[in-house]
Amino acid sequence: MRSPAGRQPAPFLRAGSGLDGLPLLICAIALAALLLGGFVVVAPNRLQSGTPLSLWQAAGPGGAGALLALLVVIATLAARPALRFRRVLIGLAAGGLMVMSLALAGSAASEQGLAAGRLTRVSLGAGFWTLFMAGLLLLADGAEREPSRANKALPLLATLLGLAALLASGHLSQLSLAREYAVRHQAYLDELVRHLQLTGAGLALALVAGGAIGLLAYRRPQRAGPVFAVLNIVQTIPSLALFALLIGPLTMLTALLPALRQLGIAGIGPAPAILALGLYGLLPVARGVHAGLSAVPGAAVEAARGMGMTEGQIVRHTLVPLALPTLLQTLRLTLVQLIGLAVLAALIGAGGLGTFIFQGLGQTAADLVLLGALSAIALALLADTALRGLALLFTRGPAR
Amino acid sequence: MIRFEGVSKSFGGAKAVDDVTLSVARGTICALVGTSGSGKSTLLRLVNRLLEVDAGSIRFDGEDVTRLAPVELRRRVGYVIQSVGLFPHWTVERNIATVPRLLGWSSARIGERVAELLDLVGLPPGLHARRYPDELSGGQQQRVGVARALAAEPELLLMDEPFGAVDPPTRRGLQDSLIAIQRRTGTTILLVTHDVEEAIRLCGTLAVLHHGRLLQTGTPASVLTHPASDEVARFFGGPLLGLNRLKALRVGDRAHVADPPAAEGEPIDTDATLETALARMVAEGRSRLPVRHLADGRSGVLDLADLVRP
Ligand SMILES: Nc1ncnc2c1ncn2[C@@H]1O[C@H](COP(=O)(O)OP(=O)(O)OP(=O)(O)O)[C@@H](O)[C@H]1O
Ligand SMILES: [Mg+2]
Repeated sequence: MRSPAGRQPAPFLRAGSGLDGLPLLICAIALAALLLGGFVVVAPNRLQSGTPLSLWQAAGPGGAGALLALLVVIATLAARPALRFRRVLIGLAAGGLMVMSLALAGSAASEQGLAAGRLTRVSLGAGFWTLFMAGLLLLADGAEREPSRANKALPLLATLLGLAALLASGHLSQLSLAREYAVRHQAYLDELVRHLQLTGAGLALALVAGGAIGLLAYRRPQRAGPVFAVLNIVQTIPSLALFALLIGPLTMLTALLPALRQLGIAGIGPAPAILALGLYGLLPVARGVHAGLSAVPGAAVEAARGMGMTEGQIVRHTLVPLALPTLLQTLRLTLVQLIGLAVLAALIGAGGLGTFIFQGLGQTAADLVLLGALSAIALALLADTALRGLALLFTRGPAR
Repeated sequence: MIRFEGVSKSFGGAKAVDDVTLSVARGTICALVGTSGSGKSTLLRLVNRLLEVDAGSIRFDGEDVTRLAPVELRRRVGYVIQSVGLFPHWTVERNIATVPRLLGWSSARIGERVAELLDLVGLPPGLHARRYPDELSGGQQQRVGVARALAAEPELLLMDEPFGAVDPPTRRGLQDSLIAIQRRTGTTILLVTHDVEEAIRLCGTLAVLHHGRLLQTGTPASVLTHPASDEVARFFGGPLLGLNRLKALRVGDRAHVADPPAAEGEPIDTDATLETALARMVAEGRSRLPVRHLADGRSGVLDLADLVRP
């Protein structure tokens, strides 16, 4: 017997109660942060620290009211478990929250800029970030729990589209972050491409070498132990140290073989960075490939061989399809990890988004640091989401 | 059709198959029986070269299997594996089509064959063709495994406990279908089973393995009447060996002519088993049954005493 919903409120956050606890909790935290923290921060110039403005001051009663109303909508939806398309609606509202808070911050920046002159910088405050992250968390939570593929994708795509439209509209151009970007947008594009190149090359290296090692470990289980022990040691070298450690040997190598220099290989620059990224990706890839292949039922492999499949057909028709979920997950985790690590490449002169982070640290220009860091985070999130989507396409739909 | 000649195979010093010599004639069914771990599955895997012999040779149709390309050999030999081993990512239909697709059959021919096989193993195609293995019961999966092995009409079938997870009535139905297919196509079958009744029902020859050694071969009737050793007798029921013997012998083997016919009741067929005859005697309270059509066309009788005659 279920008690009527009106008389006995379901206990907060209790598993199985039907009430969606997490969205409510996220909404509450977002609300608290909004009331306490500054929504944007206004500074006299790009290097000085500024004073926080609350949401009310920054966005006015209309903007603040609209944001609060969205939070209320999400909380109401979360409290009605019986509603159809509830997760999709929460996801769309969460996306709306993200787009709207960014738009309000953009407007605030334009107004403050007009009021206080060219040098004034308006950057995003703790209140904004809490709201934005709350939206992101709600989106991720909904996508994770929603069973249908279309309903998973819809809020994500709508949000991406909204953010892209907002960026393209120029509405955000007065935000400090955008102004940091505007003065170096050519350099930004170059470093972004460079970041992708470094990550791609490192990933390719890791996939080829790690894949081969994983396959070998699967074929010869008695070798698996020592191989993974060695890879584990590589993984324990602190990442920064690994980048630096490779400079020495590569410099020596190019001294011995000057021909290498013609190929663009040097002790400093992209070569050691790609090598370090490849080495870092080696263990996760090898381990993922090994785990994926080992989890394929032995009976299916024996049947495949017994039916007269060639070794190539066994790999194509049995091993790869059955290991695919694990393989795609490995690809996703490695790619995300390498996108983050490639930030360090800037330290050994290889460029990439890290360039802005370290420049910003040098100049104590917080928004320049943010420009680099946020770009890397966004890149990692995009890669993660895209590969999750790909994995969904390759798995069979939910069992009836 | 298939001849093992002094075949041995060890795994790290332990002999799984030890000096086995055995022939299976074309178009016959041979049952490999024996306790768990006696080397039955290993012997099958040596035939399609999932394993290689350490010593001795295996001839398939007169040719040493080690001189045939393994992939071509396996496509000519159907294989039902003990642990079923359906491909979990393929539908039932696609699983059964495995070898025909490898052989490059046209899709129309494959479709027809798959439907025919599903009917044969008692799984209506409309209901089951598009399901995935994890949506089937254990017994249904086994039947799909059998259909998959039969798909390309192999010359030789290796079946490793094909019906182990199927209920007795369904199992009898499947055994009948298998016998019918075998009669029609003349396929040679090497079948591993733990089920004495199945071995007796299906097979012309029994081969009893114990610790990798072949203890005895012969027709079910001869093995059960004259077990070569205590091990064989123990395998076929120990103290209950006599009851199993009644399953292997037929009324025609023991009935005798009676002039004039001197028994009451419904006559029993000569190819019924003695077990059935005994069951009727017990149920009807008679010690004598009339027998229909002896070999020479005359009618006869079967006495209780005939059952115990050595
Ligand atoms: N791949 C292998 N590696 C090592 N030992 C093996 C291997 N396959 C089989 N054996 C051993 O060989 C012996 C015979 O095994 P086999 O699988 O042929 O037995 P079986 O007669 O089929 O038994 P069951 O009736 O339980 O299926 C067993 O002792 C087993 O442990
Ligand atoms: Mg076995």
